[in-house]
Amino acid sequence: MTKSKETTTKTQPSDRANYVSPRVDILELYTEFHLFADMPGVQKHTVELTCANGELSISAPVAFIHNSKRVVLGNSLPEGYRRLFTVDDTVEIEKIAAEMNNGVLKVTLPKKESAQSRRIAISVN
Amino acid sequence: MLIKWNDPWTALQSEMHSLRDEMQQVFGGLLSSSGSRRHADDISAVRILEDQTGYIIEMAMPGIAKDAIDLEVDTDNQLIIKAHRKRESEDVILHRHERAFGDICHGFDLPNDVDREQIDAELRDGLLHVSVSKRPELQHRSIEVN
Repeated sequence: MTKSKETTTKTQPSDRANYVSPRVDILELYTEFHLFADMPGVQKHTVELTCANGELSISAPVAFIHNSKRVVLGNSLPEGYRRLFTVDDTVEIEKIAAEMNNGVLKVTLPKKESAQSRRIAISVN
Repeated sequence: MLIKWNDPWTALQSEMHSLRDEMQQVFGGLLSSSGSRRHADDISAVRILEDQTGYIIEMAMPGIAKDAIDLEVDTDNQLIIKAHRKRESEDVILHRHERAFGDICHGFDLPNDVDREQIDAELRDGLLHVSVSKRPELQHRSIEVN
């Protein structure tokens, strides 16, 4: 993956104007990359995750459950999250998987076999 | 405003966000993320809501298990919320590292109209909802005209 090269989104739906970029960590393991995105308040079934033309796109609204109440302090929770990542050709696009746990999205991006580092065992005589 | 939020880091965070915004203006797309002009706040972003019956404190707690969160009301009527966030994995190559880990501690001075015994908390999708009820005798009451 992913130098997480930042590109500009072409069109911004107006209802997503107040979306912010989630904070992410990108980890590399021997056979895959893990992308963790903090998205507190997001329900699993509302996450839109797509990968096309070398771009991984994440978008999701925050589910506010106290809408009838008046906000008296702090407005730092966003309406939603959105971010794009560039995925290079070392990633097996068809095998990308995702799970959501406690407001953290985890995306697993397996490396193609040709891009996997190989451990070489050293034998001692 | 009835609940005072004691957060020593707010001013510092505000300065850091301002600096980051300036840097993003200077460096354009190099530092900014695609698809959005600004980053989410660090962990523990807070929002406080009120209606006639009480207050709700919403606090971001992404990736934090219920057991790692402690709430208490001290003798000064301050609600203290503590949590600890542990990193998922240490022994890996990090290509990008933006998320914060470690200890979180927030204090809220509760107003006099709340019932200390009626405080409930629920963790849902990484968002902590703390519900603080107002004392019934002090709640706003509508009187019907007969």
